[in-house]
Amino acid sequence: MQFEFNGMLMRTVGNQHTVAVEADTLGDALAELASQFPHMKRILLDNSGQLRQAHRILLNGEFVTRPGNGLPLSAQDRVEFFTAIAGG
Amino acid sequence: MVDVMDRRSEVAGFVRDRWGGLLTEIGGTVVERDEARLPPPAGLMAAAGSAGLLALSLPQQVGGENVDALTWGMVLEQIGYLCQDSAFPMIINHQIDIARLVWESGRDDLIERYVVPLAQGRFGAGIAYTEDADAFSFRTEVHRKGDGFVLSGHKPYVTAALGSEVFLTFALDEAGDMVAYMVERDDPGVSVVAAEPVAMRTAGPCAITFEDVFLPADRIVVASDGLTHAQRFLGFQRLWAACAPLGRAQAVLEECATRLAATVRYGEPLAGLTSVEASLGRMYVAIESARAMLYHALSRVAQGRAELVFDPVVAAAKYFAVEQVRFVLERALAVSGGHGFYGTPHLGRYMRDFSGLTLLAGTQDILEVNLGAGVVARAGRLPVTEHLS
Repeated sequence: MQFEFNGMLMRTVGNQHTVAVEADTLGDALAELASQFPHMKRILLDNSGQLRQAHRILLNGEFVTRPGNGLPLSAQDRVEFFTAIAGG
Repeated sequence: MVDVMDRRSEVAGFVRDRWGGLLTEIGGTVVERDEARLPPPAGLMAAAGSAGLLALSLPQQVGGENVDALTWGMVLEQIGYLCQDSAFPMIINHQIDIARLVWESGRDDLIERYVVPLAQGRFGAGIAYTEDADAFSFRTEVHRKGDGFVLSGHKPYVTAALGSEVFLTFALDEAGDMVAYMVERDDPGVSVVAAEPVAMRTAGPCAITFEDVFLPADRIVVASDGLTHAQRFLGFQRLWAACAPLGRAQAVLEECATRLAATVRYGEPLAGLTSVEASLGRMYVAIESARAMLYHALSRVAQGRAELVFDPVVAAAKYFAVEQVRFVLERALAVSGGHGFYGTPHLGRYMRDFSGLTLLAGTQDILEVNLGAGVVARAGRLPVTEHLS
């Protein structure tokens, strides 16, 4: 599958717009992404390994409500993040 | 179905009847308190609690009346209309939303210790979140020690801290996740020093330093993903923050029109000059359009249709209403001339106070970015084509 980035998150992956990882579930894909880009772990995941709710994801262009780590992914899937953090 | 403006009239009536005297009294000392950087006196905050204002939107189980978001927004609008202290609605909104978030923990011990007294106005609370850093780079940290935790760090700006006994405090844990604790003012290692902002000086803001503050484990309110928790708080504040200033803008417009009708230049009332009428007309349009936008967002929240963390309609309403309120104040200064500049202590203070709304709960700039990113995310996808020049 392929992650697509823009904005703040793209800077965290070395300004790459896309990062491909091999994974069958969202949880595995996030874990692989965090292993390639360690700083991404604290940005994306809480201390129980779940995706923070402040990040929403789009799977192949469609918003997914409350995606769990078990969300199945195939090699052709494309995951984007929509991060709307404001205030601080 | 009750017309929204009929409901507004009803709310205006009961706010005036239940709290009108109190709101006038709080506003009556605002000039001196602004100079001295003091919040409303503790006795008046307690009176607001005992008169049911702080509990109005909270659940009945803690003595509240559980009014919905639209009603609460209308109440705030009327508070802004009746009270000359810009900071008072902000102070109570912080306390109420802290109480609400602790209530949502479902923990009886925390509810008894913090939520009930907050709802009754027996003590105040502040949210210790803001740092001079992005949300992933906070320097306030907690480390496990024995059965509890040790908190260290610094929060440079906590609204209402001067009159608060407890702080909902966000920090990073050893795994880098954000967590939230209830920290009490008299916990050893907590020091509170008055901050000196350019505006909202009657909000009693302070800087708080935590030096190896030991916290028992039962003080944890949010054990993981505190970032989302904090964003929810800010999402509420984004909406509430614009409601009271809308009411104040309405009061400014009315005071402006009354004064201009009684001010004669070149033999005729200023209010009769076409250019002045046009300004008052534009101010009216600004207020009515801001109200429509805010009521739309408040209704969305009341119906449970708003998104949990960042609702685009709420963000757009805050963005738009803040711009309109500031426009009304600018126009008021322009048509008031010297009176607005040196003849009243209030207009300049409102302009100063409400300038802070452009920063509160997400700057106007970051709201634009987030809203635009949301538009792109929701847009349909066409095949990407490469254009050769």
